[in-house]
Amino acid sequence: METVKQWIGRISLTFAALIVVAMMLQVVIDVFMRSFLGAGFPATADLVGRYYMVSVSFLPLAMTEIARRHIEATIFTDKLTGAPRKAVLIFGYGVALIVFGILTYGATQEAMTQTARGAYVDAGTLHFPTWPSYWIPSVSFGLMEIALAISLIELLTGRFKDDPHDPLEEIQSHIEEAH
Amino acid sequence: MDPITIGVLALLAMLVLIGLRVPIGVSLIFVSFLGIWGIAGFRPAMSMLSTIPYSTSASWTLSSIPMFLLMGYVAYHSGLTRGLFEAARVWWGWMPGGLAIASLVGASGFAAVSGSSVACSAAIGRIAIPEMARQGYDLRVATGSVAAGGTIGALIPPSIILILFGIQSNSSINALFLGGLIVGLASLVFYIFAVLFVWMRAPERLPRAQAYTMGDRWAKTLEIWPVLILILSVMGGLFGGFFTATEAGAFGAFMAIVIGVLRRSLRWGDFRESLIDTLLASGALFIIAIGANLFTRLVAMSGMSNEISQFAQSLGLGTLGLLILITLVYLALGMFLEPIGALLLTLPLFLPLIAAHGVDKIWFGVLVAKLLEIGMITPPVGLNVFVIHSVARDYVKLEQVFAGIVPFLLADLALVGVMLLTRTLF
Repeated sequence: METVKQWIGRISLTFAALIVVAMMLQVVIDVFMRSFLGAGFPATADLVGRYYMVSVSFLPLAMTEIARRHIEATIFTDKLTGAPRKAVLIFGYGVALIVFGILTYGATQEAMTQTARGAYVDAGTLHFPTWPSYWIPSVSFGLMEIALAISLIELLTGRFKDDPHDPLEEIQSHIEEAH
Repeated sequence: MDPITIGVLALLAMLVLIGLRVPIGVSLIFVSFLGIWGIAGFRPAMSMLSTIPYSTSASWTLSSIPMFLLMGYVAYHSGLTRGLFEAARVWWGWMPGGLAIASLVGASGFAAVSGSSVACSAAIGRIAIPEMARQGYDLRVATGSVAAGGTIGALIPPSIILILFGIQSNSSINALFLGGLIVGLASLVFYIFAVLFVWMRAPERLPRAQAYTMGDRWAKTLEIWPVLILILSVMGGLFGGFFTATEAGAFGAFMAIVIGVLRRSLRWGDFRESLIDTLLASGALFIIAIGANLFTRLVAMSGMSNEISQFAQSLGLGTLGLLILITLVYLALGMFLEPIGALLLTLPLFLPLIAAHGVDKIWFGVLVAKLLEIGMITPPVGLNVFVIHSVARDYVKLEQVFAGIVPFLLADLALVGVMLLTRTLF
């Protein structure tokens, strides 16, 4: 199961990485075209907003769960050990599963509505379809839900590695590799 | 139940969830959904939850965040920012408290390519603290100056906090960046005064370092030309009105990559690491932004903002009194919460209040950024202090770093006082 989780994280993160690079390049090309050719790259604002940003916001979610990089306040629960600690973790995963369950359902409903409608925007003379982009949150939330479910099962069966993300370790590893 | 009660209960439930280590974004979405359900019914709640995630993230302005993150991480991983402290040291090391001043200036330079104050502290601390230890500096001052210097990172543009504030409050990112630049530089000046103040009281704690010739100084400055060009072109483009924030970020990231490749300091592994850092930071951040958006709707629907305004009015504080109260709230929150969470949690409640009192949004945004950054160096949870301690574990105890922060904290409070008193001038 751990492998499934890792693969979900890796594949979604690889896609997101390609999209970040594409976003950077397209914006830079757009700026150059606008300055030197007088007209920008067609539909840049819509492509960046509708497709690239939506991907960059949601695709990394599953990996933030796997790398335990959520932003959370650990100060009140840090001292807990044993059963109370496990209870707090199970509670947290329970809430997250409910939230991402609803988000997956909602985003999928929305994606189906927009697909049926064939949603698009008019970018200059371009008829620019936006309906496929509504599937990005739907798929990403679904993948996150799977990653969360696997973590919860690991937690219940005692196979969960309880090492919350420690920003210091991350910085430390950067420092070491910089040398 | 009436809407106000539901709103207040939702707020309390959220604080409990966050205290129980439920991720901040998840907590916000959960209580907002339940609260809106309670007030308006299931269908409106479900409909908001279906549309808001997409509409929040599908934003041109928000896309500046991953771009600036990428620029900062690439500059950091490829070692582009490594020479900043060295260059500042040869210029100002001879002055009283010169090495501490040099680390503050180095941190400000780093701040101009990175929007994160933790990265800023770590990067400068790794180089500056051993050097100060070697020169016989009091380690409290040495570590305190670097931890404080890091907070400039989230003020001088690019600043993730200011971008998020701009989006939530619907105000100009460029205007916020300009304000951040001014207050960031003012912080630098105040911190330098703090160093000089320590030196006047106990000169033996800050021995003067060696002076260099002008030739040496320019040679060191030449070594960091790639960073200087990067900073100048991004800032020039932004403030010259040539770039939007997203374009500045994308252009800066692109330049950082090109410079890294040309200098042969950006290896494939560094680039991969930069992309992963960018995406994980974005993913963790945007889910909170979505939660904050939902929470804003709940606050509006519950009529809580009216209630809070009336409560504030009943206190009879006046605008300055209100701002002092808000300042205290942020200082208290900053002790426990990470800045972005604290920002997005509080804006839905404070923005309507501020608008009712006619306080300028840009000025308020810069004040909030400054206050949240003070939270990075105050105990018990001062992320910058922890980072500095981990960098200099061989030299100092955590309590010593916190002790070293005191003069800088006083400088910060003085600056906040000046900001509050001069508000009407801006």
